[in-house]
Amino acid sequence: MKRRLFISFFIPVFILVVAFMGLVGLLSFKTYNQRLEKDLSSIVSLISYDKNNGIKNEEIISKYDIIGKLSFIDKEGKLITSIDNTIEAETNLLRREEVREALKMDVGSSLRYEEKLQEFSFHKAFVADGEIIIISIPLISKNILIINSIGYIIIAIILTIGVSAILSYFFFKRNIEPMMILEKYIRRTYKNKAIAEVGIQSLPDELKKIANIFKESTKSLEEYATKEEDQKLYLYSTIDTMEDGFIAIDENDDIKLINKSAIRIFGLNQGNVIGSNLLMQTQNFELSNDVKDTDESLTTNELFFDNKTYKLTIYPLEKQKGKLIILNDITKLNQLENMRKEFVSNVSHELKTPLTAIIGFIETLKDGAIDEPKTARKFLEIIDIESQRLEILIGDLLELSSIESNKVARLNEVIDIKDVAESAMDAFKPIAEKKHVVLINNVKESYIVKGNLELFKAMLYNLVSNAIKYNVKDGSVSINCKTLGDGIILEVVDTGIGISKENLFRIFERFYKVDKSRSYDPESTGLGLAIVKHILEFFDSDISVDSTLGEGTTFRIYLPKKEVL
Amino acid sequence: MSRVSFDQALTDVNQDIVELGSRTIQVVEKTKVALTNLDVQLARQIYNDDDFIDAKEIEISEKCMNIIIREQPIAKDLRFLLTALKISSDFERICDHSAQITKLTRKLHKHNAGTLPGGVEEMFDITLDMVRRIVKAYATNDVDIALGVYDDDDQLDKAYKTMVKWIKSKIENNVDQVDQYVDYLFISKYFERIGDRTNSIAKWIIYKEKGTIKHYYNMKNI
Repeated sequence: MKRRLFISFFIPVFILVVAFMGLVGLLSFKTYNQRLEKDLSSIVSLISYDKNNGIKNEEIISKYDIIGKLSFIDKEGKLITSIDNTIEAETNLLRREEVREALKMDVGSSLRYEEKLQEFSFHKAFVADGEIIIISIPLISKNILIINSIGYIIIAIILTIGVSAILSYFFFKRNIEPMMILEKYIRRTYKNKAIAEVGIQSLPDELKKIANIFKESTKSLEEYATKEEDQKLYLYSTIDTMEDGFIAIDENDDIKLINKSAIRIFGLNQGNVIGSNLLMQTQNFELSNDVKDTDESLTTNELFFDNKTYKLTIYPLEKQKGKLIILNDITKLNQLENMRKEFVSNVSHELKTPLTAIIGFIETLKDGAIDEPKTARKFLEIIDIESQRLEILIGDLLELSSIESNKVARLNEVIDIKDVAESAMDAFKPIAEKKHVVLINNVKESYIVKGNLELFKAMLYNLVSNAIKYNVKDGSVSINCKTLGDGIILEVVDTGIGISKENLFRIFERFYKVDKSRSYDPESTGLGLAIVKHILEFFDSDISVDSTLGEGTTFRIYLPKKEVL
Repeated sequence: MSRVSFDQALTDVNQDIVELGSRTIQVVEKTKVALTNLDVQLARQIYNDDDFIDAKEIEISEKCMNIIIREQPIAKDLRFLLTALKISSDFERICDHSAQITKLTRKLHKHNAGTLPGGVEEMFDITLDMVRRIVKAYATNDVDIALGVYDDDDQLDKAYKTMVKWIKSKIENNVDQVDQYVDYLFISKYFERIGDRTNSIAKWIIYKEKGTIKHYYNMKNI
């Protein structure tokens, strides 16, 4: 680049210098010629004078020998006297240019190269006393010309090149180098994305201004870019942290933007997602067809795959001609919705069963059964049992709802687990004996927690009652307690029928009964464990269950030892 | 047909195959739901929907043949089209096998069969996973996944053999439930067939990517 620039400077300068030197040479040659012409004119008049005075040709020749060779010819071209060999050899002297001119205008001259003599010579012819006199003056012989001119030419070449080089170097230095510094400065700044450390102080004012403008614009661009980058980063992190899957596609259904959730949902390979086709990446034709069907208004649909349900929303992007896909995992929501539906239908069913029985028996009594005391009594007993069942059920429901809605007082009573366990033992002794189940209390020392004593009792009673209810003959129920770290572990262990794995995670749901055949046990409402779970929330506790079918179940409660307000 | 529309036609075929694969996954998934819940209605629906899959396969084949006849493609393009022909018919066959399973589901329902034996469920899970992965392998041109599907076929074959033994012993002990166990035997066989189909697809995916058809025992050396 630099060399090319230099050469482009050098060539015109060189041509200029050559032209100048050529002009000078030509001028000096012309001046010399004119001078020679003038000198010869005076000599011509001298010779004419001599001739007219009758001086002999030979005398004239010897007289002017210094100036040049003289020849005398007559007007027919015949040689009279001469010392010039070339003229003597020529047959027709009238052909000579100077002679022809002299015949016409009395005087003629010519400059030419004599091949025989190998030299340039100047010839002048004039008419005097009826004779034509030719003066031949040798100018430069060829030998001298060659030897001398080679030296001259070499000197001239060296001189022109040297002068042009020096001239163009200075010119270049002055005008181009600052530009190159500026160029370097801009290039480096662009490349390193930071203001370059190239000195621009030495630049001429105009270029310094350009450099400064560039510097300022770079700075403002940089600021703008940082701002944009920040904005972009925020945008990307926002999209990435979204729980919902988020995909933006262009008009050819190629993915333009995708967040981490969407990558996770479809199990994609993050590296090569952007720019590839939606169908090819997700291999989900339902999604792809829904996208294709979305034209102007947004589409919502449910998408089911990998055992999960997604709410699919597709927004058309008018400006970009693309589409925005949002996938919202509604599996849990659906489950909750199902649970709610189940709960409502359960409650109505549980309430209706005893009520139907009561109404039925009352109608039978009304229809006349009341008159048969034996039957009437039996019927009334059934009505009593059913009413009690209703009462228990409604009581449980009310308790559950009051616990759930935080209507129960958050007392700070001192609860000794040992006392509660003992009272539970006493309370359930008759029932346990009836079912041939042994109750074992392993709580031998005091364990203190704080909270609502009544609730705590209800919780433990529920667990023990369940443990007896779902036990086998000659089985046992034991209560264990121990400290663990900052808390207390309370266990209710039975040797009962156990709970299968499918049912294990559902037992805390309301109205959920493992054994469907037990659903018409007046004592069993299906709410016990739901109540236990909600009470434990009051104590900031967790409950876990271990169970093996046919061997028994362990309910393990972790009670933190902190003050409960 | 210009070069651009030729490329577009190839892309179309490619997307059609992925769609067919995606539909196949759905068919197998639905078949599983129908079989585990003995859902006769769903089973009948899957059986009827099979016509759509057949039509799709024919559509893809016609597209491929049209391109081959009109454009006379060579090298990679030709390989792609041949693969498309092969793979689409394999997917169609998988759906056929699924339809057969739904037929048996209805029979099982008639025979009052209980919960699905664990062995059948295990085979179903392996099969479904293989189908899902082979579609992914095709869509992402991933030879490694295709090779992984080959490995899984061994597992499926083993599960099939165990299943056959188990059914034999069951039939010997429960002569009155022969119908039900014969159904399970057929179902297991169909799983095994579906596994073979995924293997065939894997083979053609490797052909498409590498240009050579290798037998199973040579697969490891690719």
